Amino acid sequence: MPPTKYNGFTDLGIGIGLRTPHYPYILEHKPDIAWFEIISENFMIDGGRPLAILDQILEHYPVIQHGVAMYFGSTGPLNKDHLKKLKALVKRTKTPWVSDHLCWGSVDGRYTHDLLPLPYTKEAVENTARKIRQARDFLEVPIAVENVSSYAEFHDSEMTEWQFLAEVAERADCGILLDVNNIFVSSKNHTFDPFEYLHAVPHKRVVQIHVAGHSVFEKYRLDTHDHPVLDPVWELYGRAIQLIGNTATLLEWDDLIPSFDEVRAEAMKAQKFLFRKKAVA
Amino acid sequence: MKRRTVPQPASSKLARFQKLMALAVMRPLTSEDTTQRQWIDKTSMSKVAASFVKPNDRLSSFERLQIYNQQYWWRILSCFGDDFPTLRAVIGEKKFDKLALAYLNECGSTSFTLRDLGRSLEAFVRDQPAFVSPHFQLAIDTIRLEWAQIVAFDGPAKEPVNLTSLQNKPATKIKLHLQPYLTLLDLEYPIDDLRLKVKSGEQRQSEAGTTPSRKVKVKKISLPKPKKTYLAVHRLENTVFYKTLDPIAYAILTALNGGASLEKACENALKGKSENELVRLAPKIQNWFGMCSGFGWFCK
Repeated sequence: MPPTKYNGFTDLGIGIGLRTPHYPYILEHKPDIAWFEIISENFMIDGGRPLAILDQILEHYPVIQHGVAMYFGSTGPLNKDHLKKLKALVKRTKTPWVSDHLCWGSVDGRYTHDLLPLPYTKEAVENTARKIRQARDFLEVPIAVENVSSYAEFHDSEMTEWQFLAEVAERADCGILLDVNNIFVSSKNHTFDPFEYLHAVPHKRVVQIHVAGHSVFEKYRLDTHDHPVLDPVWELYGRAIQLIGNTATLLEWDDLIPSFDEVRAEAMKAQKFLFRKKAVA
Repeated sequence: MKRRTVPQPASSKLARFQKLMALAVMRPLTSEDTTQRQWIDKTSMSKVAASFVKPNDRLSSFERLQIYNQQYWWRILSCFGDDFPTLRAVIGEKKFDKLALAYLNECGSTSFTLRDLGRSLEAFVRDQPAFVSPHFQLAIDTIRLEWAQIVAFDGPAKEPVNLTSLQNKPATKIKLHLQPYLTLLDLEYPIDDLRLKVKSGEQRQSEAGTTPSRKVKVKKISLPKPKKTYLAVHRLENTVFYKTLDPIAYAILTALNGGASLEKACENALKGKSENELVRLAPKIQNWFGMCSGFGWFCK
């Protein structure tokens, strides 16, 4: 995706998630990687080592913030303390956009720390889009919402997940962080065609793509981020690039994390699907 | 301590859906780690699940909901275990699991970050000491130390005060506070040694915090005998340290942090000491202040 208002007019390549076991290697070797994604909540703290490391990383790499607890889909109001801390971090990282999930996860101030799927209803569209707009107005930075992996569907749903994603993004006028692994996991769990999903997403809004590994069980698949990316997910990624164009791509690896070089090598597999940039005459 | 609130009637269909699902997801699992077969009102859980979750050709509504119920508990139990490894070693695996379940069921998480999960644990255990019996005091000391460790790791820091800049100020006018990341502990057990032994076998939680990590077995340790211990849990160059304190140093620092002037803090800590003792202690106290200042503990 070329520079647009949704991606803060940036043109990033392939990045990987910044994870604790890799800190010493990254700081010592300054490996060749276009950018890092951080889990915002891990750095929304008041001091100490994580922020000191982040500041060192920021001296050498662009950093994009990705959150896990904003819960745009929850019906309660946005957490003001959360927003204030997030804004302070946005100022620190100068992230061109902030992403979080199209999900809910808190009720009456009680947090599940999960990315719970929404029923795909008009009410949920209105509620979610309104809260995304509120967050964007407060944070003063573009927001992108990510589709989640899900293991349940609900009787209340009035539309497909991809229609819901498109509707929310249009109403909120926000970007989309398209997780092709999540599309694939959900397509297996709910028996739909992942390519139909890909075609229906408003491509101009996609600012970033996530790839990751997942676990295959007898009756369902679980989004565990503890494996290399499965081949069908790469295939889906390739199709996404054909439809959307080159897009900032991020490999998530959150558990059973191998060496930095292994994670980087896995992420760089994305390169063969990207369009080669034309040389400037 | 935050108590679990009774769910209020929700105003919209979406809010009603979320209250119902949240209640189901956060409901404790059975001893076999499965979703309870009966709902709160004793009706069949399968019926309740089927009322809002669609089944598919492989999983019933109950089984699909169970995935979320299990993920919730495995995630927060795993995170709680990461935060209190010494407590687990002190009270044993079985008691720790019972305590974790009871505490998390009652207090849960009221913060956007899992970092705060153990914030109310000390109050919970003081309220319900049977969970850690017969090691109540040892458990309380351990909880205080492990929470102090979390605070020291990422708590806020203020600009340190340079003591030499206060040299010309009378002690009655000098007021110093301690860094917010520093916790002073008066313990009945030398739990710091135990924490260091347990620490060697730790494994971290999944980085994104949204997927549960695998459970780690904690090695058996021998419990310490009581020994009055004064400790400062602090950080230096972004690494957490424990510093054993002399009781008088502990008393002075505690008083200073409570808002007493330097003169008053020293006066109270040294009350009842003979002239000879005061002469003997004077250089020691000077050294402590030098040490505390060197660590950057003092701030305004």
